Amino acid sequence: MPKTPHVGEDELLRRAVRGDEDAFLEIYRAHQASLYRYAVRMSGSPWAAEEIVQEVFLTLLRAPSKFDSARGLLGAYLFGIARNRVLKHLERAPREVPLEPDSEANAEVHGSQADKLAHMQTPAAWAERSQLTEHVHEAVLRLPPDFREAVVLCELEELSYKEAARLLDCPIGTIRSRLHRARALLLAKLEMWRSVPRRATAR
Amino acid sequence: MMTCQEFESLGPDFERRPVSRAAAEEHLRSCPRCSALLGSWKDLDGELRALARETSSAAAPLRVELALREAVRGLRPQPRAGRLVPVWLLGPAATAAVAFFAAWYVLRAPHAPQKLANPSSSLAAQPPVDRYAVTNNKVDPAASEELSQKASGAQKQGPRRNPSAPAAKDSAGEFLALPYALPVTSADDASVIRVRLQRAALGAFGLPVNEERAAEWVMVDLLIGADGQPEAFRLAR
Ligand SMILES: [Zn+2]
Repeated sequence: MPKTPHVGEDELLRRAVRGDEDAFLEIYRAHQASLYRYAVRMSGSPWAAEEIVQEVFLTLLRAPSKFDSARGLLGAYLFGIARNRVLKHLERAPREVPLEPDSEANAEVHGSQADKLAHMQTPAAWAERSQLTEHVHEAVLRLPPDFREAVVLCELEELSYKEAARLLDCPIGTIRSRLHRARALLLAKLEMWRSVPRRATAR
Repeated sequence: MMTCQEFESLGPDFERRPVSRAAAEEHLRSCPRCSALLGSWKDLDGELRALARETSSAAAPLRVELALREAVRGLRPQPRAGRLVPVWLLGPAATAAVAFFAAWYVLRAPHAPQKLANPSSSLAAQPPVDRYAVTNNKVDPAASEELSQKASGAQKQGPRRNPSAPAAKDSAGEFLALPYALPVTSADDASVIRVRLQRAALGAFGLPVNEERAAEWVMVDLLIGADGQPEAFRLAR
């Protein structure tokens, strides 16, 4: 997520909070996409992700002194704000993600989830999207937030375990075990969806 | 000999761990269950990579950048009249209040808004809000004094722009009183909050909404009274 170190992040921020648009844009453009991706992949909602990204940068502008470059990169600091917002969003709106994949009552919700993702895509890309990928996306959105976060960071954002652990301020083993359990849950969900056992019988 | 449980706990990245790789491979040769499991892991990884590719170019829409740039412009020092706080910097509480207000208001039957310029309105005695110089969510007392000296003239002329007020250059039009609102608070206690609303919500303010554009986001300045209630609004540019 956080980009490579930017020379003079402090100085850019100082200029931005004095109204220097160019300085602000340099900060914004360096970080917005990864923050947005994280938020949209965690929430499944482009609308929520948009609000979260906006709120992250407004928070930075409101209280720039809370960022201390001696303690880390601006990207990691912004990620921390985004993460808080995302978790709050997930607490507030847990029912945006349906719990049971197969019930008819959820068919509409599925549709809307699909629409939400389609919102990010070109129509062509959307049409080509495999049904399986769609189900994987649904299954990721249904993971408990901790597990989902591990998948988002390590599998989708392709961070190393070490980078993810640093970002979440937890041991590498925690990341590894969350990912492991997330994978097991995802496989179980996908197998449920397929309704065909793929694993050979344990011996 | 590695057990199935040990293999499973290694996960698909066992290949990256040289210590366990040989034992895992040996186990796989003799265990169809774990071979199938490895196949599932690889399929899943492939699907996750496809999902990652699909969303890899996702980015915040341009309107976020535009809105933030406007907020940054509002931070520029204003030597004369105090600065207009980029009003959504006021904090989550204010934002939440406005969101609550908007949601609540949408549920009400719309009424036609009163124009501040209407001399028969109780609001007409108030100076037009463009003339409020807002500093840190409060009207700058100096600017307010200066403005109140001009207020009597303004009342006769009706609302007009004050070119020295920072809001004037960014904002279009006069404030319209919200239909349900009580008479406007005195200038000293009023503040302006800029919010982003969907056009659909403007219908509740009594404005006509083109259905095709109902989902569009627009910037709206809300005039907030001393009691924290929105009293009037205008479309911002
Ligand atoms: Zn085995």
